[in-house]
Amino acid sequence: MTPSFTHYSHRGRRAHRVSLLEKLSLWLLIPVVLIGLSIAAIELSGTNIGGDFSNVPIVYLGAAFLSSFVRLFISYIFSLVIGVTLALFILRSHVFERVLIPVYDVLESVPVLVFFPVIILFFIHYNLLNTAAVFILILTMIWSIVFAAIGGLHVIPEDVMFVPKVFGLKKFQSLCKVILPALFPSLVTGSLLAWAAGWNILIVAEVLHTYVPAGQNVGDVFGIGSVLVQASSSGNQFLFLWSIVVIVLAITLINILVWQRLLKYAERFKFD
Amino acid sequence: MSNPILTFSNVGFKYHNGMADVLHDISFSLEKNSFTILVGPSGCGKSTLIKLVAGLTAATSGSLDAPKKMAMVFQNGALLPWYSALDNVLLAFEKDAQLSAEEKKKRALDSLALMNIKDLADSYPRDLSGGQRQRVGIARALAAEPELLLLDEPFSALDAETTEALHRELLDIWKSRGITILMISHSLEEAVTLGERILVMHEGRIVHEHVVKLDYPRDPTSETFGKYIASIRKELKEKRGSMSK
Repeated sequence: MTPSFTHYSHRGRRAHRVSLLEKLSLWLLIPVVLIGLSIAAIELSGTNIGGDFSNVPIVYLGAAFLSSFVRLFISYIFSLVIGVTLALFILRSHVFERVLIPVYDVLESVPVLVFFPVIILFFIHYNLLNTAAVFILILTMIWSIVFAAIGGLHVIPEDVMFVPKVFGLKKFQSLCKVILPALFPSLVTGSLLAWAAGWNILIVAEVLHTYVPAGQNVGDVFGIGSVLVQASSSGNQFLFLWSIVVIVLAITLINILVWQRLLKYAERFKFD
Repeated sequence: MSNPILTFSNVGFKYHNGMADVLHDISFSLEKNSFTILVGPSGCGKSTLIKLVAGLTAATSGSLDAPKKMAMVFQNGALLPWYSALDNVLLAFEKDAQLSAEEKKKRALDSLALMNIKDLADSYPRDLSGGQRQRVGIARALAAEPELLLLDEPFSALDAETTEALHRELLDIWKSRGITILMISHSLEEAVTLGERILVMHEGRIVHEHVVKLDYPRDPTSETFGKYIASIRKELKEKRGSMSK
């Protein structure tokens, strides 16, 4: 029987007993981090990122991380909804599948940073800095979800796909009761990869001033990625190192508390 | 035939990618309350034929007339792993907006009880044996109260003992409920154990029809049964011989 308190290894596709560190992270570190983030977010929510970074308090990092997390979360929700919709198009017919998959392949392989300056200029024109960052994050995160969902659709047994038809389920019922649950394991894997890609591109997405022509007074969007870069460029090594610590710690905790649990939970949605 | 519930008239099927025809000129009908078995080697078109009956794919030529109230039991149960046995059976009532949730649950439990697995209502497919899963699959199909029950090799992955028990239960259900059954099997012995009529398929055609002349219950271990199977095999061999000439 699988232990109730386990660590899921995706590569090995098996569960292990959790370590003491993981138990500590669950019961001790998480409340501490959440309280810290909340205090930081409340105290520093009005801070302008464009200022002097040589002497910023460490508590600033909590708010910065929270800001980045919310930005990634919004991007993820958009990526998930659009990505699953794009993947579901292939169910319409074999012709759709034959046409769309190569199109998605090409779109995925286009480096998102090539379009970054153009996208930034477009959004800055309308003074939508956060939207620019979210847009870039969506373009980065969406493909892991699209291809995971397409892969997931292909592993649904043919007989299971026939069940809604045989029992007269409407398309929406079929989507909610059969297709989306069947996709759940693939979407968890795809989401994990999407978030990893999102964290990777976060610095680029938040440090907007790099892509703006000289003369325009455009600051970066507030987040842990932009704080990291600004701390480095302003010579605040203390803040720079603490930024890295916060990112590593937070991503580790998210992995343990969210992804490990979702990967384990997804096992019950898998077909034999 | 006096009272056909299903009629195939010169039905053909081929895929649109230009491959050879899967079904050629299929014509047959099923009388109400009959038990018919389709047998034939792998790839002969049995599953395609049953998909046409279920409306899962459309015939490319000819016409077929099938009842609306139909349900299907799949080879491996086709249960949804995220639902309990009860919830899997409840899928049969999804389209029925007029029934209350309580009535649906009651009927689903009755259906599980009919297959002797009411106590497994809250179990998930991963916790069930192959035979129990197939019972849930049959319970789901029966819950839909079909006029025509389609079974696509439902016992092919089960052990002999479970298969024998399910054979008995399926025959009881057929007799007590008065439904029409069309079942696919690759085993002539299974076809003779269960069916009133056997349709033999080969390379997309129905090449032979046999009405089983043994009384129920049929004992596959008996000498009479063995001799009967041997006589059908001889009949089929002669048929193949005459077809090749």
